[in-house]
Amino acid sequence: MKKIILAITLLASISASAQTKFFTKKGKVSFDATAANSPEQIRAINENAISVIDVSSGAMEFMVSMTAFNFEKALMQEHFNENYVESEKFPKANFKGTITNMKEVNLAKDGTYPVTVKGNMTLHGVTKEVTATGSLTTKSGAIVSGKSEFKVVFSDFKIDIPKVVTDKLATEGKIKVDVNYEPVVSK
Amino acid sequence: MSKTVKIVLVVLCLILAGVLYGIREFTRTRESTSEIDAVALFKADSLAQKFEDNDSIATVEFGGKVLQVEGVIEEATSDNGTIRIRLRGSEMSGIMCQFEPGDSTIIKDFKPGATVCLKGQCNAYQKVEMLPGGDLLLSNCVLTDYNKK
Repeated sequence: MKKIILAITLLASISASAQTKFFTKKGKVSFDATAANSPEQIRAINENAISVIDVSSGAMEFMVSMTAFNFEKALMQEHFNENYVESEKFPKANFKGTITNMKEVNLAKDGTYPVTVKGNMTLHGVTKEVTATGSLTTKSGAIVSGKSEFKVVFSDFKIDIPKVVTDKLATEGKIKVDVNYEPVVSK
Repeated sequence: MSKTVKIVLVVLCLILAGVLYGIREFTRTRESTSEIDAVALFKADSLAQKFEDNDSIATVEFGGKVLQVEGVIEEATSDNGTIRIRLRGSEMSGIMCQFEPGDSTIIKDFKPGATVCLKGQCNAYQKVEMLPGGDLLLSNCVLTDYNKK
């Protein structure tokens, strides 16, 4: 009996340690573009972001569908899709990059590790190199979650903010990423 | 009533109508998908194949529109009240359906292998290079029919 338990434990640990890719299709990406003195909040959330991390290389990818950002008010959502990010022409935003300090994330030890991610973000048809800091949380040999907060300057991605709305809409958006990962299971 | 008073009243009515329209538009929330007619009806496999073949063309055609889709449930999940089901699609693609906030008890009924018919807003075909296949995302879905068999 002890041998069976030992064998199962060994197999489980080998399986966990062999797991190199972690993903989600339910990642939360929110942004807040409320200007300092705006009487109303301009923010939205997308709960359907795809993200993958390969811990062996530190490679990371994100993809969000622009029309899946939900605003409190329908008019804001329509303006966002039609006038600002032009979702019909540019339906997706993505990020492809690398966790530059992946070696510092110890999968064998449960905890939350600070990470720096560097790569190319494509938004509104414009690709730009970005660097962001965040954290990865590990548990039982796996990446279980990731968080990050960074800013995006709209003009960097050719998103024009008309002067008439600058009292409400900020020139940069605060992006918040909150993702729970699970291992990629080969079928 | 003098002509001037009539003109002033008409102008005031027009201003009031404008203000009311503005307030209504400004405070308007998203219309429930159940109130919107679907522009097309698809079987999940053929819709997934359409996006797998050429997602740019398919997104231009259907992006942002409400589609009705019938398919077989592959997986059903609930995360903090957000219900999603993945419908079996083509060989490499599926249809990920996120339901409107509301009755979270329906998740208890969703069984893999059951056939479901729903309406949802078509978003982009979500695919990353590091994963095989992809999913077409339908958001704000509502059930139109459900066969538990």
